[in-house]
Amino acid sequence: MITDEKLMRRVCDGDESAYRLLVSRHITSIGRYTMRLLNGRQDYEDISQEVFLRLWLKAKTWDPKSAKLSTWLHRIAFNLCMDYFRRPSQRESHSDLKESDIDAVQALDEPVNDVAQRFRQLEKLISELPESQRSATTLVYQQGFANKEASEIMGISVKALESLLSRSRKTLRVLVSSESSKAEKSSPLEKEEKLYAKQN
Amino acid sequence: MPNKIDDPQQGSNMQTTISDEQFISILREHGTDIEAWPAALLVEGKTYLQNNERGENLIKTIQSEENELDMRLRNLVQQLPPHNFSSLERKILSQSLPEKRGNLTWVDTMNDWLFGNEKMPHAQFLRPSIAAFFSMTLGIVSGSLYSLNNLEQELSSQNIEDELYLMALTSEIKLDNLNITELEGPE
Repeated sequence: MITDEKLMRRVCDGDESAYRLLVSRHITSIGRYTMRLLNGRQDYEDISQEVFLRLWLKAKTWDPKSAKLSTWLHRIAFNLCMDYFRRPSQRESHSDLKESDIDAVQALDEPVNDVAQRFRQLEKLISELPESQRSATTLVYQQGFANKEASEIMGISVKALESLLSRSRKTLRVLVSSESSKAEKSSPLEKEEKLYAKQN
Repeated sequence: MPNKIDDPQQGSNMQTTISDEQFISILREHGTDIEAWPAALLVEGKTYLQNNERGENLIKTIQSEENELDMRLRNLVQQLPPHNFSSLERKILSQSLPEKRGNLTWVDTMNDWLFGNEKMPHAQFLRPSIAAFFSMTLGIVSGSLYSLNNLEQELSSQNIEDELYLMALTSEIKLDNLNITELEGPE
């Protein structure tokens, strides 16, 4: 398989077939990331398009020694999404709920019965996170980036990213703990508490 | 609730300002690395740890709980049904790509900046105006700084020469006058 680096060198020389190959290779991760960040708004397509246009135009600015191509592309996508959120028109419509969201809100009150419903709840919980937490959660949990890479994409320190993840975990815990309560398993904290109570 | 502590004050010392429950809540909010906590909470966290034997154990417990939660979330999020991006891919691949240009000369770069490209049509009007404005301002400033000084210098040096010449001329006239009177003699 031709590496991203070789393909990028060809893109620098204006090779369109190399560009096509790179688009096919990265479209799923970039599309998924922008769609998640924009909460499924149709504009995610325009932003993804812009990401790959920048890949074509700014290929020379990518330094393979400093970041992987996927990290670089995600960074471009993140910056474009943040610019999108800064637009005044987007701020107003940001908290608008769609029909499917309302279903998901209702679903949160119901017990988790099947996989599809659980996914719906998860989608809903992630979509309700603030942008930065949503980005951190998607990058680390869904896109599989290490904390260091995710922090580079978002232009923050690793500690700041971990703090974002801690806060998003607090929200997402609701879903996971409902599962664990179903399994009737006590958490490590409870075990520790019991142990402490025995000791005293 | 798996993570709830029944007795918030259990194991805590009276010297600390935060309770066990508060400590756990901060751990969950800001992570288990106490040094990364906000400055206001850092002091309280350290005091709590100094006065409570249980503190370190709580950190370890929360850490393992967070790791477990991390793992579960990762699994869950990765199981989300995949989205099909083939139409987006087609859309991206069908768009016409701008022409790639090799090494640009400074003239090309200047030209690009000044007249923009198809992506920035407004630049066609705005940038030449900015360029004209700056050149005009530069012209006025440099003109006022240098030309007037030189003129003054020229004028001042010319004045001295003129004055000397006039003085010389005056004395000559005087002499001439004298000569004239002498020559004319009394009527």
